Amino acid sequence: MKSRRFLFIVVLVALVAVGLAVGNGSSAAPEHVAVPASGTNASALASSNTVWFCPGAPAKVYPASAGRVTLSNIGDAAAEADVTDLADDGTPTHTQLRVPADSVVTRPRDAFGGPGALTVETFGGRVVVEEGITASKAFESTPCATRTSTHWYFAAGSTPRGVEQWLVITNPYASDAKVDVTLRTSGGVRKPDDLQAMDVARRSRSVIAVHDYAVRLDRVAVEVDAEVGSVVASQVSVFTADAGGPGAAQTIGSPAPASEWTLLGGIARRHASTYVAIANVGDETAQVDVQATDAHKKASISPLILTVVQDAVVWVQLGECEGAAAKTCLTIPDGTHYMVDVRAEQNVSIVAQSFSRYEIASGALATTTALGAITPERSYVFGRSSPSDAVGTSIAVFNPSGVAASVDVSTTTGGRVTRLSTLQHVVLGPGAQVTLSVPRSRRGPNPDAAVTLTSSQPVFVERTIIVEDEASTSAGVVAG
Amino acid sequence: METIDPDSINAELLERDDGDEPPQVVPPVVAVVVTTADGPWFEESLAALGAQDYPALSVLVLDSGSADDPTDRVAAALPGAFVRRCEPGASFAATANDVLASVEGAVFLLFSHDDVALDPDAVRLMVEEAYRSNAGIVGPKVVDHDQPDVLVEVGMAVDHYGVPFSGLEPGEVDQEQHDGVRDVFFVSHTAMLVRADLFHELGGFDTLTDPGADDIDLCWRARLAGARVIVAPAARAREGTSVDAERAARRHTPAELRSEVRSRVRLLCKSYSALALLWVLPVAFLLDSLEALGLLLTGRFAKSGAIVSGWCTAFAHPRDLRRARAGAQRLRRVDDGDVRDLMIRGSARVRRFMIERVHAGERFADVSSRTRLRVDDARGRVRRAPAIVATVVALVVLVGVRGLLTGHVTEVGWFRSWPGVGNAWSTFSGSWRTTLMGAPRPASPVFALMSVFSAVLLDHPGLAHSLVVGGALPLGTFGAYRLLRRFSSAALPGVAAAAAYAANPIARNAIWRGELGPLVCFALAPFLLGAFVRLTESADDENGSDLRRRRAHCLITIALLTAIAGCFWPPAILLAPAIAVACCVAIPVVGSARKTFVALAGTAAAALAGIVLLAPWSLSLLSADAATLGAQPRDPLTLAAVLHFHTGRAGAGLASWGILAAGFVPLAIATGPRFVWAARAWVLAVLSFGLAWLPGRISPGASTLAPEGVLVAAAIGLAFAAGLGVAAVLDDLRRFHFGWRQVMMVVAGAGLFLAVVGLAADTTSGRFGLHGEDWPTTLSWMSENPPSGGFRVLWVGDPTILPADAKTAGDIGFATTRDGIGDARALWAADEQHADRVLADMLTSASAGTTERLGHLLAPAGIRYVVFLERAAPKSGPFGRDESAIGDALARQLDLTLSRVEESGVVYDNEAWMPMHALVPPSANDVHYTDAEPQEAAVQSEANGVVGVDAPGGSTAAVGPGTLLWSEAANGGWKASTGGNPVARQDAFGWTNAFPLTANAPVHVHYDGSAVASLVRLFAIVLWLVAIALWVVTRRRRAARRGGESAGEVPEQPAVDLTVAAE
Repeated sequence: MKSRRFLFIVVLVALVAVGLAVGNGSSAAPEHVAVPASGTNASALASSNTVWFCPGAPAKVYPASAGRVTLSNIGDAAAEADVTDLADDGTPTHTQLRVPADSVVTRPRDAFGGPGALTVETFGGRVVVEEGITASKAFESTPCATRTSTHWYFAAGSTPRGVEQWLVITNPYASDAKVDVTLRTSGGVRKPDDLQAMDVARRSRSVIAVHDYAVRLDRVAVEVDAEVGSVVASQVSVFTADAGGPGAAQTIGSPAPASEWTLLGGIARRHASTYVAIANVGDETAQVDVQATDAHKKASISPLILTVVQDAVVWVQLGECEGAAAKTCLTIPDGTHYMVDVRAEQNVSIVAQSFSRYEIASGALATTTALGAITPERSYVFGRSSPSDAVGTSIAVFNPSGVAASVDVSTTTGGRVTRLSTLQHVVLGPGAQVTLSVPRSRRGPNPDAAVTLTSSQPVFVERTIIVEDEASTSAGVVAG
Repeated sequence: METIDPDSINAELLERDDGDEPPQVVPPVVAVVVTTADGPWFEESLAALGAQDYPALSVLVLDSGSADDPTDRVAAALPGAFVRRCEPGASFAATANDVLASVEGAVFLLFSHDDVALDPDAVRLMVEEAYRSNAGIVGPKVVDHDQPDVLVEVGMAVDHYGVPFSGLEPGEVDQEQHDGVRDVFFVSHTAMLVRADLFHELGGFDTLTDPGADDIDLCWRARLAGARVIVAPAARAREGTSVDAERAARRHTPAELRSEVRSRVRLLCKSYSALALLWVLPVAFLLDSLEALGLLLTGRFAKSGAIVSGWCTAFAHPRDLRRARAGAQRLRRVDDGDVRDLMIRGSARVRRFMIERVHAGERFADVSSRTRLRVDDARGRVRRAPAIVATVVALVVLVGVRGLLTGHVTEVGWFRSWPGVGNAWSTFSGSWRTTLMGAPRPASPVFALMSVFSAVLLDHPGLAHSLVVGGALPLGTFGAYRLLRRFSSAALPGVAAAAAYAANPIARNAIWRGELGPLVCFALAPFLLGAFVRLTESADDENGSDLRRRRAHCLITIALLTAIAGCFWPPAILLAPAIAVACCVAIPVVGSARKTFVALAGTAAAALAGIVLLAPWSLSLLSADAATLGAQPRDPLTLAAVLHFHTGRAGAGLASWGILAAGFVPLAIATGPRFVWAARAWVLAVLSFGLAWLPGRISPGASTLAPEGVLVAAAIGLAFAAGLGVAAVLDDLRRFHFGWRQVMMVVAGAGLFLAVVGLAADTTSGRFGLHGEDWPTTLSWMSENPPSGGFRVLWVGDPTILPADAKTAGDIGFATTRDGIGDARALWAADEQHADRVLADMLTSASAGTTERLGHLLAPAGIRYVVFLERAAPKSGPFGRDESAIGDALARQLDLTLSRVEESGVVYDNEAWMPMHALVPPSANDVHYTDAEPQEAAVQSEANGVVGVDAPGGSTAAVGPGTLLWSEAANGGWKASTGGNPVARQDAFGWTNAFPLTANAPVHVHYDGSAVASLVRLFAIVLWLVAIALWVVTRRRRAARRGGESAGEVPEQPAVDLTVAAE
């Protein structure tokens, strides 16, 4: 019994020792399955039902009749869309819409009710929703947001004489939201009291005239932070004749900053004003490299290295450097197609956004803006390509990867999908950029078509639509 | 006086005529005095021998090389002595061995030094003791020649490495403290009485073990041969030079040191078994090497070298050594283990150093004796202490739960308020379970128990609830106390077990978490274990009938307790079999295989009977999902946390380790049945620890049982062991000298005390942290002004903190209550049904971001509110795991309105909800209830025009025409009738029910349950009654038998299973 007792105690101690040796159960608990994040700041098209949030344009500038809403169904099945107009007058309106398979439906904004934000819920099919402005010397078409966020960032904004900068914040949910708006300007950081802890009532939008809070300032970058709830923010810059020529530029913000941004589709034009606005939203001063690459020669253009202190916003002029401050101008020869890479060292969070005004064939001034892209993707969809008065539509594609990418482009409208042979298997070498012209559809009464781009490698894309008196630039919707 | 022929000694010694007295035959003794005749005490020594009162004593003086012939001196001092001159310079051993050839006929040989003066009765006393104790070798008490009250030697010991140790302090005064006759390892040849035949058999002294180990060697070999070596302190000898002094003197020269080391190594090689030599020799070598190193470092190079040299010379003649070893081993009749009993542990040199330099021996002895006295004294005192300790423990426990017993039980987790008698019984007897989306499943018999208990308390379900929650800890504590009654006549072991059990943090953590099932299991586990212990007993005085009756009583008890615990917490059904399995696992340690297997079979049968008692509910568990069986996704516990029961807010400190320490005591000191049961209890605890730790370790994301429940087995096992440890301390520890056992006992006692202090510290609130507001109270507004048609509340979050029995979607927990916050009827949910899965899929869709219309999806279920919880109570209780994914998803839903934000929870209104019982008028085209795919049907359905319909008891007022939506899981058992005419049922939204109504009329809707289930339930009720009756009957007869015993019959003592001990 004595030896058994000893053995028993030894076994007990050994069990504990082995247990401790194996580990103290310190293995981490399994990580919770989170919502798959695409990592992109662009809207994303889910494989099934999707909700689209369209903030709309400020009613004081553009009446609802000037707005356009395009629903493009690239799916094989017809889709039902529930459009809820969160009208500014507080009377929501529900409209149900059927979008046939492989077709594009464009409706004037006032078809869904008075001015306000729209919530478009789609069931079945694969529907991309864009909203825009079609007015005299004002044209915009940009994808609506597929997600809300607690943060939104804009880098490019200015309020000189003749320029209005509008911020539209939409709360599509059934609970009130509370937001703070921060303006990073050439005159310092401003947090107007009115814009702090500002309520955005449930299912409504707030339209803020930024130019009233940041008066006559060259550079105004905007940040929206939701203390409570989750919102969508968009910005509309309106240029009047006092600003050299009328125009409008609209974009949904970026829900997150990043340390590296890619902006493409640039063309160095004479007498154009093209900028990259860079806002430092991080916690420290950023050393920022602005590197332009000639798309045809695939040659780097002499980079610009900037020091952007915390909360500062810097505009870098692209081309036309004569007379400009050399420190903030990147010399690019006229006629060069280029893309720009903006990178902050040491992972400081910045936001980069392009802004351009240039003369088009009609002699009018085109006003465009687009936030840079953060992450390349393999598949994109654009809801429209050829508005009725479109002069030309192009899609710039940049392959940032180290291997060649094969790109296919197809258009979808009138119940059919068209794959032009010239837009199939377009090969982009590593680091190459190409600008593809999208032809007008000749099928059916509606020449407007959704454009689907797929690539064998992750790429960046940007669409530019030029109409007779204006132009619009926007990122694509990531097709998941 | 002349030198005589030794052959002449024989005849003279045999008989002596004492006159008128008849001739006495006394064993002849030859005193062999080895001398160099140069000492001052030689004559006195001879004179003392001459003065012996022993009649048959002859004296032989062996001269080992005196410068002068000592014959004259011998003749002058002791005329009758014989003198024999041996080889000059021969060692003591070699000289003494001369008697092998020169002495015959002597029964005893008394070897002594020439400076030893024996008291006149010494020889006689030693001879008498040799006969009395049947000893082979006897030594006297040796005192200092000049100071006879100073002890020199009273028997000697050695350490495992052959180093002698006397145990006496220098100058230790003889106060008769060593005057008991006892076995010793050896007696020195200062004065050594050896049986002559033994001496011859042993071949005399081994001359190569002289100096330093010849006497040890002789005695060791004598012991191996089965002879006893004892000291007879009544016989006294005075020595001119102390043995230690002599040995110390020998070590003065390196040569002597080398000889001594050689002797000792030879001694070891000869005497130990081969197996023992494998470890003894290396350790001895290591110790000597250390000593040599010490000498080297202190500059005594010669002595250092002598030690090394001694080792080398010991093996210089391997053949001779082998021969000597073979001779010693040939005599072996006993194992090394028996010989080692008289050796001292550790190093004799270290001990000697301690005793000589710091008088540690005195202190050890003092501490040891005082400890013994204290233990004895304490033993006497503790017979009175239990009442005090028990009172303290009981008070601590009762104070700890006072708030639960006397006040409202905070509705956390499974501590939901109990329904009234009628509602509880109807839940039990109903065929449709109303948890989640409903299911055609019987309810747990726990509702019957609720109903009966509440009825006994005159329809006070709140009081019944409080008594169950607040009474669990006291009941479990009492059970643990009762468990130990059979293992000790004293009450203290029971009190210790009760304290260890009550102080275990799992009960407090179960209360804090609202784990009702594990808490009930905690309360009943001691009784279950007690029944099992009684089941394994086999008292000899019991006749067959009594034995069968007692076993039947035990089995019924196990069955009933299993059923009660199981209906509260299904895994508890396995507790009794787990105890039996633990006993089986312990068989290699404690034996008793046959009885244990019989007990296992009996327990399995009883557990099976318990399952039958829970029918038909238990049958529905056979194919149930993990959540129904009590397993939920939980963060894994570390092994340390499991071992000290740190499963919640209680148990974080070191105090809980004390329970483990207390439980360890019986493994070390208990004997007999106490050790048997301690081993079994530990196996049970180890199994429990393993079950609590391994699943989370192996698969961190898997659903696991509540650790508070799984660890109940460990808790009762350790408490049982702790009680057995105290019983062993009271009865077994007195047999041990002061040592590690006593130290361990003190540590364990301190640990137990600390654990109780930990419990006491938790008693301040009277609720063990279960205080403050609860969600049902905070959200009670939900139940106010209920809308027509009824609604559900969907609770979302960590499944372990929700106030209802939850299912899981991934690791998101969800549960529902009806018409508000609900009550205990939302617990013990039925196994997962298709409709529940649909609900889970909807939550998964929302969490994955694939829908922002969760409200619409949930509408067919009548879900009006969605409550997302992060904590078990608004401001207290455990936090749940991070479920921010679903929390964020809920905030993103377009049709959920933020209704209320609490500190640890958010309530959303579902703007798209439809009442559970609702009429869809023909004009309402937006309700796509005919679609079969649940999500597609619901996502675009709008509740515009849908009207809620009150249906008390399933009967509505006049409704229609239209479609009556009945928001229970789609099932063909739902029947509707209007005016006695049946209404066809169809699935609504693919997962609920719809009844098309063609006219405006009252409708009656009911679930047509299976008659078989009702019959089985009735059968189970009868079984319960029969089992209770049998339990009472068998118990009464035992009581009667006890009454008979108290009337004069011999009571059964002891109560424990002695046959187990015997095995």
